[in-house]
Amino acid sequence: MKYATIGIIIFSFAVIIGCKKDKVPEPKMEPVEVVCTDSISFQQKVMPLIQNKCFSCHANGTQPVINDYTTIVSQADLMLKTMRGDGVSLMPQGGPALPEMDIKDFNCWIKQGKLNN
Amino acid sequence: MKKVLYALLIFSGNVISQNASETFYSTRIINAHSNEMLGDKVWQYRIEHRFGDMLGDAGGATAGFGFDNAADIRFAFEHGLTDNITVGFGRNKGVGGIYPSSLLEGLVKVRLLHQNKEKKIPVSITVAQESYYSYMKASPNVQSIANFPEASHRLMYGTQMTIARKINDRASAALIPSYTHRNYVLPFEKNGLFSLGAALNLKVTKSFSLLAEYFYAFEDAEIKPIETNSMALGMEWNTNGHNFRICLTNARGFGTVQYLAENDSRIADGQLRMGFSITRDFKIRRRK
Repeated sequence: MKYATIGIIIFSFAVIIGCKKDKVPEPKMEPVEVVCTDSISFQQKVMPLIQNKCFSCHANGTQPVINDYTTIVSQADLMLKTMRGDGVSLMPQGGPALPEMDIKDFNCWIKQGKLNN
Repeated sequence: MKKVLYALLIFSGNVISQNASETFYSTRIINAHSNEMLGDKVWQYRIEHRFGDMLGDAGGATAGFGFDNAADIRFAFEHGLTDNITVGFGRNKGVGGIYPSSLLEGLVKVRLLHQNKEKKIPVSITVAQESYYSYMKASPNVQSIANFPEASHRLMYGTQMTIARKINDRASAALIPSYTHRNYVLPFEKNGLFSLGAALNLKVTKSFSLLAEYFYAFEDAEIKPIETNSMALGMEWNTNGHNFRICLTNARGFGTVQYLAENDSRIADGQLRMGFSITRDFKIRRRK
């Protein structure tokens, strides 16, 4: 019983000193200069693109959840980085990368204020 | 004379067994810890298995409704140091996917209270502390949770308090506050997660019972959608020294951390699975 008590104290101590609160670093990305001339429509351009390329996993359980305007807005910056595979895993998973035109449209939509237009 | 001896034996048995016994048949309910402990000097060997998704993209007839895949497998030895302290060591496959797999697991479980009608103790309370270490090969991708920049990032912890009450000979219930801590998480996750579980045990016969268990995670729905909360239904057979349980659950892993913090399976998407647990108790006596 004495040894059990000592063992449990050592175990508890190891648990307490072993605790950390670290996170996977946020992806870093060099700013890319994009010139946006046309207004990008969320309903006509962005939503169909995300629906086709992301919903099959991220609207069906894969984290982070991406399934509507609100979730797309909250994840937009990370999504742009993953589309370029710039410091993060390239998405769609396993590639190929989205056409540069689609990535540019998505980038412009972000720059224009992530509107629900 | 024999009758007198039997009567004395039965009477003494009643006096000794004032503590509520068999609130649950096993030391686990389905995924969660029950209030039951291994007896003094008892060893238990556990083999547990969760199959793949029954339905959805990864399930269906072409995957044998999940029986062709293994979501998780655990082998564990547990030992009762005393009637009130159990220790254990195990090995899990882990839920995998984006989360660390290949887990070594340590367990210390202590009984704080034992339900006793004579002493007017209404519930049994146990606390189980689990620690996990992932020995998987580190991923070269710095954006992966399995990148493990430091050795301590391979560690995870789960603490579970089980407050159980044997309502009558047929029914028992438990409330299970739980806290999990992972040393290394994805950018959108939090290291700590508090969950509250509830469980019910209905004994149909002396050796067969039905079980249900649900955990609610107190977490932002964007980080952990409510549909991914762990839930399970089970059937349990208890024989002398053996316990056999089959269950239907959306949880992929066995450890408190795995089925509470890392589970992303949703029943609505067909991501539920069959599972089983087999345990064998034995006592090793030293030669005198």
